[in-house]
Amino acid sequence: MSQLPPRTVSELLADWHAGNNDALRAALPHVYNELRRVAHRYLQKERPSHTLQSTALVHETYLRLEKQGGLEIQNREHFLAICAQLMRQILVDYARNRNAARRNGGYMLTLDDNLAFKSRSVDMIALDDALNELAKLNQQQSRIVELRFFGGLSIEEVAHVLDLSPTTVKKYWAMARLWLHHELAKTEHA
Amino acid sequence: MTPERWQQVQDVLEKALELAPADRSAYLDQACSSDSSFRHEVETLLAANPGVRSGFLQPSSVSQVTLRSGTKVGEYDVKSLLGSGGMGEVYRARDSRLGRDVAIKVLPSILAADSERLRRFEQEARAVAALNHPNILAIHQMGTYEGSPYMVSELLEGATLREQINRGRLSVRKAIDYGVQIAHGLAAAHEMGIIHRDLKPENLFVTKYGRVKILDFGLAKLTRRRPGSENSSPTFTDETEAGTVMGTVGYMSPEQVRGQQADHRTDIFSFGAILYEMLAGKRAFQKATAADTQSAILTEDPPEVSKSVPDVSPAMQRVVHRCLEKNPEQRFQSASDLAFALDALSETRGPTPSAPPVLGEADAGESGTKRRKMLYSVLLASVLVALGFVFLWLENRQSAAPKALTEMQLTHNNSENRLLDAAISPDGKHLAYTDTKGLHLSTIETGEVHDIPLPDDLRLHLWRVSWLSDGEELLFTTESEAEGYPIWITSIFGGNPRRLGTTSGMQGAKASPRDFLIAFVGGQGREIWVMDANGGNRRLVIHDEKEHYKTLAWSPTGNRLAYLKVADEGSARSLETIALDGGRPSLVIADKRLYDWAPLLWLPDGRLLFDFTETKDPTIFDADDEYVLWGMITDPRSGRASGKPVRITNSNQQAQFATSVSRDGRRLVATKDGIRLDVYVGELKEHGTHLGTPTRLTVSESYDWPSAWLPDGKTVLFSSNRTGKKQIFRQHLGQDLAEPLIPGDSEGSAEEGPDVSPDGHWILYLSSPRGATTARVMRIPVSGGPPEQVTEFRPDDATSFGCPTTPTTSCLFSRSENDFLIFHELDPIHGLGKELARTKIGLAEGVSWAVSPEGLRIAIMGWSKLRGQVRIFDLRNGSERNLQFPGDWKFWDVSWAADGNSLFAAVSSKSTGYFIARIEPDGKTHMLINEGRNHWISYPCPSPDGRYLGFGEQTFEDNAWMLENF
Repeated sequence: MSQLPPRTVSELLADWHAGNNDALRAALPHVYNELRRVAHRYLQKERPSHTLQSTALVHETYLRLEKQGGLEIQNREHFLAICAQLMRQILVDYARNRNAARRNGGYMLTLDDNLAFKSRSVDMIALDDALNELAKLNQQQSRIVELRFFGGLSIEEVAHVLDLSPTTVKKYWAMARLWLHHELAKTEHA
Repeated sequence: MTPERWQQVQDVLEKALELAPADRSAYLDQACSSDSSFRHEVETLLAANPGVRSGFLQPSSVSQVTLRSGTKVGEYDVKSLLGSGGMGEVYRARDSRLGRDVAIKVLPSILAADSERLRRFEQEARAVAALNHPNILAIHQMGTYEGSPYMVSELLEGATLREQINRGRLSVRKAIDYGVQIAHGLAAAHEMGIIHRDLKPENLFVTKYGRVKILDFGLAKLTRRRPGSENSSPTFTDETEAGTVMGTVGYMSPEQVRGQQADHRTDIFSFGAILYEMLAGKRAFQKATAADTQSAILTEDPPEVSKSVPDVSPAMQRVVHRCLEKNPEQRFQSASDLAFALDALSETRGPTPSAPPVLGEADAGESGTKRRKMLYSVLLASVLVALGFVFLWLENRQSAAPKALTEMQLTHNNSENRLLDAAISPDGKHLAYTDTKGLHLSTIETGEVHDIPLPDDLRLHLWRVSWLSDGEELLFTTESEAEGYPIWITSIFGGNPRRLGTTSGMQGAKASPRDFLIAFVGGQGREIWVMDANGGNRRLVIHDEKEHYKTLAWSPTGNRLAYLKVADEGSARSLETIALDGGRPSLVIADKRLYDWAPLLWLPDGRLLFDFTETKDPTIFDADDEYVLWGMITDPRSGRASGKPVRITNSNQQAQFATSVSRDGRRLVATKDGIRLDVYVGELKEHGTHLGTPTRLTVSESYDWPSAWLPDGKTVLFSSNRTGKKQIFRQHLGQDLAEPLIPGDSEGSAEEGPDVSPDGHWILYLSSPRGATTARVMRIPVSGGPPEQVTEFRPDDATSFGCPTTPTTSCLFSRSENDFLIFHELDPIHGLGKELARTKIGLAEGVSWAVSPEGLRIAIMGWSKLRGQVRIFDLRNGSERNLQFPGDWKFWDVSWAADGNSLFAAVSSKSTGYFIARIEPDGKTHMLINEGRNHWISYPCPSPDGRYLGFGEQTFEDNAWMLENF
């Protein structure tokens, strides 16, 4: 059985919206590299014991996309934005499961060699909670962090997705990080 | 908090962040005057700012690893990531049992899901590996690590064919050579009934010896989607491996595109597409989308290579197109037929200037063709040296000519965090740099910076940095008190740095741009060594007893080294090159203007870059120097230079030092220095053993350095180049402005180094008239009046004078003769007097001395023989005593304290940086001021009453810049 693949990502995503799950399967490869890059970031400096491999993370994202059925997706950025949301859910779910399994501490992801936490890692669950809190204060700021941090989108891409100016995104991003940093530092000391 | 409150907080926060930290408090006083809890909220968020700025939640752009350095896979220790692609990551690992490095390819765990397929893949890969064919990657072991299949293979040094093609099309000669090798490898596998199915430039590896290896046999089959579609395209339909889709689609055969049965002739089609690309420098089938490309594979013939590349013969053209026949029946029917046809072409080819081989590439091939090729290459080489190389260079230059030089600042270090070195990654995308705070990696496109974590004892003593050819590891040196400059390797992904050895040259450890090799200066500057990047296999390349080596550069081909050497006697400097395997050095240029502290850099286009010290007027004694970047075309193979040195940039504003270049030769990183020297004055306390916080006396972007005080103990005499030439100024501690000592233009002479005569009546200084070969000591009354000549002399490296402060004594004048420093009397009225004493010091370079207040003793320091020492010479009886300090203390200048017993010395040491110490007669020291490595301090200059200490402090504001179209 042979079949030439459809034309563009947008067309594939439109097909998916129309209920064709194979279209998602065909579209995913096109953004796969980006997803993989994003996924890898979280797992980059993970503890050796951590088994949620980035390929698996992408795969899991894919499965959840498939489960959700045909979402209406406008473009590549939008698609990545949805994936960002899913990845956040997956990582947090994963962390919660781990926490349930091991009371002690919880699964921590190192997000960067940041000095902020003196080379320690960011607590996924705490970050998720803080993002939910932030959403109550400013929905857009919370979303920007999700897109930047979980989706790996650039300032310009986020601006495109949220229909804001890059200047506003940059400003909100800075403010949100201040707020989150403070918030996470609080939970860390608690 | 409510959304409204958060908005209010943000408004204030935003404004506060725009202010300097010192000004924020005042602003908050005003902005939150009525509400202390509001202020508290703003302040706590402000306090988070430093943490946030260091990269909190910042997306990272460094590529990824799944295995960390130190992880054990089977009996192998993972060392670093070598590369990654859609099919998995490849790591360098250590087989400690056999003491060798290997490559481990880890495949996505998803591939392990189908154990039957995995088993068949292993079987096939093992079968191919068992061939032990020189053109097929040798597999040592296979296994599964945490659910991911992996295979261990020989570690190859070189690059994929993809990387080579990306640098430009290959010569016909080389394309044939590679083609024959690939065909031989394929033929061997096909005989076993094994088809590759995913042949592409990414899967072909060219070692540094020119050997082509086929990678990933059998892998294509493993990643097929499902058994039901057995013969459909290997990597296209698998959604988990989309990364390979784009790369592969252009090399699929028509039968693969159609999903039909594919046999060994599918590899021959892919081979044809690769051969086409090697010759043409562009893909045979490439359209905007994968679908269009596939359609082209089915229906279109690629444009004839000979159209774009004239030296592709019709016979060659026929071979390419016969591989690319749509119908498998019309292609070569076996890879060995193909190898034979290609090999036949290699015999009929002659040299043409338009197709020179890639510079310095070694010839290699199967034994049958090798001899012919060597002969051919000897013939070719003689033609090329005369003609081809220059031609190639001109061609490159011409094509780059229309674009203007662009410069972009990459680092933004200020004087509190001095930039030490910077190097661009081989792919031109990242910058690694060292400063006084650590080792950093920045992404050029986004400017994002990541710290590479290092233990403090390394982090705070960093010196040079360069990239290893894999683009994954960095070579850096540190400064060590006891050991010179230890050499380290670290992965850009972190992990513990490995120590490899020590270089005894400040500049002298550089990684090869092609191989895992490191060259360094050893033997106290008298030897150049090369070692493997794991520290082993050290071999001496060259050594010399009469000269020392200062700085090194690798040829772009990795087979030669360029070095700058300085003769022990005199100041002759020359730039030479030598082949790694020895042979005679070849001179590039001998010129006293070569600046021996600047890095050398050999560009892929053949230009060898160096710095000249340009003096505004070479006849003026010690005129102001400028450092200007020059280049000279030097053939990386023969090491011979051609033409004249050419300036790289026209900037005279700042010294530029070229440190590194991307592999494609397009991006050059240079550091530019912005330095100035200011006069500072601090109050001496507790009998001179402590210094109060110094204040800056001079306000100018120029070089200002103090040398004496007027007898009032309140006015500093200093030299400055602020007017464009050296001139002497006086400035009272209570005043903001300096006034010139000699009003008006003094015939354009450079004037410097003032001191006050013992009776306090005269100011003496050095004057070097423009254009003269002699210099003079001049005098001018402290109370004002016209300058008059005291004596005239021919300056040498040790020319200097100094005066005691006791009225009945005499000033001293020094000169050098052979290994001796000789002192004469110097009288403000009667001029130069008799010789008083001489002392043996070796090299006069860097010698500095000071006479004690009562005029009876001289403290001497120097860079060569007096390393780590201060000599106290007694004029009464000629006795001398050496005070010994740590060997790595480098003394810059010395002066006597007013009490006539202690000394003030400006010193630098590798662990402490730059400092001024008070040295007691018994050798005990008190640190007065330590500026670490950010500021050079020297010219200690105590006031005659012992109340103040003046000194000069140099501020470094060096930064790294990226140059393109240079």
